[in-house]
Amino acid sequence: MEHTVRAYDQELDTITAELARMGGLAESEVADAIKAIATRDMALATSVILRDAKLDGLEMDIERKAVRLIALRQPVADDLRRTVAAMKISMNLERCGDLAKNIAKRALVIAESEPLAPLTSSIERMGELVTTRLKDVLDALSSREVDQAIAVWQQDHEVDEHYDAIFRELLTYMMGDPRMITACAHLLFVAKNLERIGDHATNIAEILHYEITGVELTEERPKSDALSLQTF
Amino acid sequence: MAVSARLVATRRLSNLVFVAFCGVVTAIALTALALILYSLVTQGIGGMNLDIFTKSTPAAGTPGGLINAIVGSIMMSVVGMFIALLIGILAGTWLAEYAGESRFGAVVRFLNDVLLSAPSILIGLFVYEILVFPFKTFSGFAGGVALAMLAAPVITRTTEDVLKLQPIALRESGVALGSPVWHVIRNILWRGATSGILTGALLAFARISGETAPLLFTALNNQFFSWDMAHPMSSLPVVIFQDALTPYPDLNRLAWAGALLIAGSVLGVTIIARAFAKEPKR
Amino acid sequence: MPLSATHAIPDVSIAKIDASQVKLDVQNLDFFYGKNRALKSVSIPFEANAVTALIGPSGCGKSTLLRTLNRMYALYPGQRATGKIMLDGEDILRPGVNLSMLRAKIGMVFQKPTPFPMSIYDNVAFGVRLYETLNKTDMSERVEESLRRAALWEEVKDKLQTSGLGLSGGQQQRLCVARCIAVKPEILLLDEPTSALDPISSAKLEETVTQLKQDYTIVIVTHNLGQAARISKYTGFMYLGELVEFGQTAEMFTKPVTTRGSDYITGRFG
Repeated sequence: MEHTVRAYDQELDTITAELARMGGLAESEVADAIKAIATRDMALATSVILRDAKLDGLEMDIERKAVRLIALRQPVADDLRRTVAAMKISMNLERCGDLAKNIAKRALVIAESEPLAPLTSSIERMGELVTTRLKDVLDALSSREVDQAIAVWQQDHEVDEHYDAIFRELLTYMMGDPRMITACAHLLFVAKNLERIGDHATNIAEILHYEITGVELTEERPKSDALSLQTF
Repeated sequence: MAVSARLVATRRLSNLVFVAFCGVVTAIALTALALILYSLVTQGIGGMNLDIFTKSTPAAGTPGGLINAIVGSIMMSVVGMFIALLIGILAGTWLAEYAGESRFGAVVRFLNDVLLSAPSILIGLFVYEILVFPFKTFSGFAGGVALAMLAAPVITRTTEDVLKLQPIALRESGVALGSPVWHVIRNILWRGATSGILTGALLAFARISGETAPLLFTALNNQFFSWDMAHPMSSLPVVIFQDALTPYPDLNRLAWAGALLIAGSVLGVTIIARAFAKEPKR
Repeated sequence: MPLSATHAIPDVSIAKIDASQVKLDVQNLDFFYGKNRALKSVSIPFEANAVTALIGPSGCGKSTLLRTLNRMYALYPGQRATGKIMLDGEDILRPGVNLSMLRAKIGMVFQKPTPFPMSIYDNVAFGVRLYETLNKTDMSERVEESLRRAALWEEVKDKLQTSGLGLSGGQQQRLCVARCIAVKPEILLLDEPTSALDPISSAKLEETVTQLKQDYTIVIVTHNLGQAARISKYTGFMYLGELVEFGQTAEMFTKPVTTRGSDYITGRFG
């Protein structure tokens, strides 16, 4: 249902639309950063680094608009949750962008060292997984599907496991050939960044769940009784 | 939407015409009032002397005053106002607080309005029938009752109106404290309505103080000074009526003086009562 | 969202309060203005020493509900209530209840300030004199205490004998609060007490209410949702004579349960 004051609806919709744009930008930034690593594409890496400023700008804009809305409209209930969630999600997306930018910077360094084919492919796999998570949670955001958000939230451990595997793998390579330490260290950071992006996707899922249902997803990630949380 | 210059000019003109019309009509009314007061003062002041307040009404050609009429008027007015206030305030309170939309209330309200505009001579005749004829004598008391019957409807009406003007929430806050309704009426509503009720009383007093017709049938007149309300009593309006009709200039002068006295006393009572009933400052 | 499919959103949601905490318990209350049914089977508990706010669009019955709690409606023939209102285990709707004693227990403050046409001192003493005969010293103490509690004492202590009508609107309203609490009631009913006041006076009155809640069970009807959110512990949302949602205020303003409650507080209708 619409608000009696229609400008209020327009303001809320503007914030939501900007958030969706931010989501798209962050998603492509992350995907391109991983592609830059995998294909050693320095031009792509540079473009990712340059694109991040736009994301930062959007985040500030959303925050400004949300603060203005809170001050002028005093939103309550779902409007309040929507506004606060927009602020928090935009912060998370901005962080994702920063991490993608960081990955792109490392891509520039890694591209100059010797190729590490098996390693980059496991990083690529982890990247794909994280990108899917991010994409899923952004889909949930635009479709407001609380179940999809819960699914992302429940799958966070897969990313963690991936990270652990890569960590062990990299350690092996570094012990085997000290000349690879520089590149491997960078890849380790890339993996860490990917893992952080996965965490942000999980955060967004949590925020989204709160926004839609009004209930926080704070407990230990229970696999079976997550659904009972939404009974209210 | 822009307002055209012509429309503005038309509006200005019609406004001007209306204001001018109001001004002229007001001036006419004020002129009439000024002329009446002027002749009253100039003619009345000549008859004023100490004798007015010391001697009773004379026969033509002998010196005399108005003291019997003044005292008679005061006594009958006091009796009349006392009865009228008692009946008027209680009846007005009943109409405002208890009658509500009931049929009986509506009937009482309607009859009161009829009484309000009843010709005073009819009131005089009525009192003659119930108090003068059965007791076989005109009396000051009957005069007082006749005046009360003229004053009571005015007081009833104004009391009802001013009580109804008191906010409902005021009643309810009294009741909400646990106070019974009669207690709220007596201690809160009447207090708040004092100045309004007083205004009504003044109106009533102004109305009865110049009445002649009902007194002719009830108190008649008395050439001599008397405190006795069981017998005919003199009053200023009746004396003015009689003396003004005589061909004797000295009696005519006395009538003018009496008229000035009535006008002056109504003015004086009004000013004094207003001073007492100042609206509490908000 | 799929929630509505699997978990139906309730049409009406009334939270329960621990019975030992309930001061005033309305049970299945119906109210009639003549033939017009203004309250439809309303059940709502009011917790002791807490503020409960009643919100809802105009004509939803919130003021009517308030006016049944002290049986103010008994003033008007043609108005009647059926159901139960339990106060300390006694049904106050039962015939034969001593209304005077009931109203001594349940004070009420109205939308517009209603100082009596008398001095500030007499305004406060008015209700006390109905129930108690105090000597001059005790009465003066009671007046001072009441005015202090209503946060008005400092402003009027030098002019107690002047007319209550000379005060500002906000002061008049706090005078009405003082007049109420002078009688030492247990429950305070506030019917849109700040709707006629400027923001500063409203804030002062809100502060007064907040100070009073530790000693009184307070029910406040308000059109100001922010006010309901600020000062109340519980909120009841009424619509068309029905209690639609009742629960903790903090919950109500972050995640209302019913669609109607949510639409109202977010400004989507009413």
